[in-house]
Amino acid sequence: MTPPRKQFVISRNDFQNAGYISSYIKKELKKAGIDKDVIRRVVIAAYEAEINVVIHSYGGMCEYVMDEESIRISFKDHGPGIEDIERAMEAGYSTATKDAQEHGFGAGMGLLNIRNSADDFSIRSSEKGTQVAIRIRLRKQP
Amino acid sequence: MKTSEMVTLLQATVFTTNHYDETLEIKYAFSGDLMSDALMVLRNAPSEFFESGVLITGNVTMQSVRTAEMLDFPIIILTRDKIPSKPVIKQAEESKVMLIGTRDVMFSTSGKLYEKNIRGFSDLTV
Repeated sequence: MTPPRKQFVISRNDFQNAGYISSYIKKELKKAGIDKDVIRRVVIAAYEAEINVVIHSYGGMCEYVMDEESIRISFKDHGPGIEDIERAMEAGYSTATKDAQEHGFGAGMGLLNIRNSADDFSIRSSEKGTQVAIRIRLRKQP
Repeated sequence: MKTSEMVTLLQATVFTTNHYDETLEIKYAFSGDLMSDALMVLRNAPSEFFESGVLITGNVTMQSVRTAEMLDFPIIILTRDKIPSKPVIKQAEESKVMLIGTRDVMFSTSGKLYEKNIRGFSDLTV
């Protein structure tokens, strides 16, 4: 049976393990028999958000909760926060380091891609940290 | 085109020796070093594009393997003689992603495959 809830810790600049959580979630969704296209949307959103915590924060955590209808994934980090969320949502705007770019990220498309992949998306940020919440319906709409 | 034909065409090295399917039929490819670009551009591509597709990249980090895994690409072609580290090869094998390498640069790799009727995402959407 699919575990309905699980928490993970994400470490700052941990590019070796970035993607582990999204990979875990993908396996659980496959086991639950979810449609491939839906799984892809979930893991694209989750992976981008996971990478964001690795690149931009002092570290944080991820939790997901799944039920029959949908999966909710939340990411909370310990700061330093996003100075201007509106600008951060613009395509191409990035504050990522060269290191992040060498790993193939930090082109300023992550938040936009998360929002476009999710059915519901919210983001809150202060200098104490950023919270991103995603909900994606697990059944294709007729 | 089968994986084995692609390996011959590109004079490629197979790094994931514990995970190699020479009979897999390849029809599509995406080229790029920016993994976030692949995740963005291919978000709405049909499943067949990934399942019969290859990710061509010069990005030899763990994140190219993770990106292929998330998108369901069974193969990554590393260009320009890039050598993956042992942890990257191990992760590729665990993620069931074949990792192969060629001396060709990304342009030539893509061109050689296109010449053999391997197509890109924009060819599907035009």
